[in-house]
Amino acid sequence: MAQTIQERRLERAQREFNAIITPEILEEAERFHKRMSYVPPEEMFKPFTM
Amino acid sequence: MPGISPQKKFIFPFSPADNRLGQSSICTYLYEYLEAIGAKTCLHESDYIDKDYLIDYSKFYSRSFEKFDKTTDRHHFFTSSFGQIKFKRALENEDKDFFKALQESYLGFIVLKPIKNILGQRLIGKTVLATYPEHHEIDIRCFLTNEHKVSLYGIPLKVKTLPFQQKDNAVGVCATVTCWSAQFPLMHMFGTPILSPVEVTERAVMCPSEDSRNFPSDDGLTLSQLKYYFNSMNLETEFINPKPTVDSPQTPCDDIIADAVRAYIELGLPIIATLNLKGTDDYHAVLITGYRHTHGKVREIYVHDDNIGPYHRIKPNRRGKFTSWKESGSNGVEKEYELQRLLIPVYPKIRLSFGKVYRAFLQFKRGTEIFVSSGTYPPDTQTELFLTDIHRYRQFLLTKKFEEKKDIVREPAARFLWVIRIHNGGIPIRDYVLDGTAIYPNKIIWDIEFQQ
Repeated sequence: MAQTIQERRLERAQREFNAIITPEILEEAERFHKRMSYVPPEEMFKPFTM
Repeated sequence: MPGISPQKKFIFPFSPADNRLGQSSICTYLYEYLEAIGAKTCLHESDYIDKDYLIDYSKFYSRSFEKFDKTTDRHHFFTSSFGQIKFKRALENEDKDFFKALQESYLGFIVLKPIKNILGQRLIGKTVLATYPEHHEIDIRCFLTNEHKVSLYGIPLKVKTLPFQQKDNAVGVCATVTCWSAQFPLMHMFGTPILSPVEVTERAVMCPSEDSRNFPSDDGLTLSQLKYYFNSMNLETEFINPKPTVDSPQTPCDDIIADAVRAYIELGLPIIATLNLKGTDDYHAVLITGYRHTHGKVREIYVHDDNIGPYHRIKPNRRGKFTSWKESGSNGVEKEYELQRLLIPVYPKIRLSFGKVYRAFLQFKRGTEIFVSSGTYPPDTQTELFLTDIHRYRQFLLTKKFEEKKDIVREPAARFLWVIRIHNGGIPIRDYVLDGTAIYPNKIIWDIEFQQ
């Protein structure tokens, strides 16, 4: 089935994007996210009292 | 007419020296703030029924042996000068021109509760005051605001701002009032309810903590209770710990706090910052409400700090980052806080988290820096990251010129979008638009190169 203009444009954009955001960067992004969003259990229970 | 005493003076030229609100440090801050935004006239509305206080009264104060009033005093502020005779005459004659002029000069109001703190100072209740002006020399200020309609004896007034109030140890301290302020933009965007401080605390403490009492609530809320509170509103919460980027040798010039503030305030999401007073085991929560930037470089962050006041200015630290904050205390002693974490309540469909997209953003940022040093992009070209929705983004696209515009603006797209934008002096060069409802930052929706 012939590709639409939108599909062709998207494919090109995705190809260029993938050249910058490689699988290695995506894996790193996962690790980065985990480190950034992790809260140690003890911190969850410290009250904000000021 | 309730609120207007026939004899009593109720309109005054604004003067901090009058101490009309009281003499606490928060009042001193409010006088300075009102002067900075140009207050000239103060109108005192007595016996005002403030919904938030009334609920706190009915759930807590009404069951005390000590008698408390159930009404408050509300003070309105205007940039224009007018007197009592003129105001009363305008009410008598329905002077529409005068009412219009009042609206144009309206700065908002401060509710003074009949409750006193341990020092005998009356507490500041719902405070709805205009923000600092949008422009400051070449800098631009961006704030988290919604329009708040006010009825002054039937005169329709409005102000764009984010409500603030001081902590009240009986019904809720810093974390409670931070959640209370955060409710307003969330209600405008996602239709979540507005609860009074006592109701915010009641809901949050349904998640158990190690502290013994819920009320009086001077034991404060915990991070798990803040998370529970927003989750109970059917919202998700995102946590951002700045440490991984602060400690990373790969990101010496990046300030994740400034980047996150810009990213979320663009969509209008409130950001709670949790702080640790250095050298102590004391923790504090404030709401980030805006920022000032020069061509994308964040110079100042504004916070609603219930110990200080609304739109308190935070400057970057010695390293040019917002990961630690300094404040002069009321006794002149400087306090330093370490910013521990940001908490952002988000709509569940915003599934692509900041943490995941930020790493991709940094990759584009490094690439832009290489293009700038090689001369491909002009100097001062910068990369920014922000969250938006399809409606706002399409509105923006309509104002720009780019190839295949008439096709692109008509294409279906996700409701929420992360945009990595390369711009020069605020003029967009290229946008990489990612699906904000995706799980991974690997799905591009549009890659748009703008024509200058």
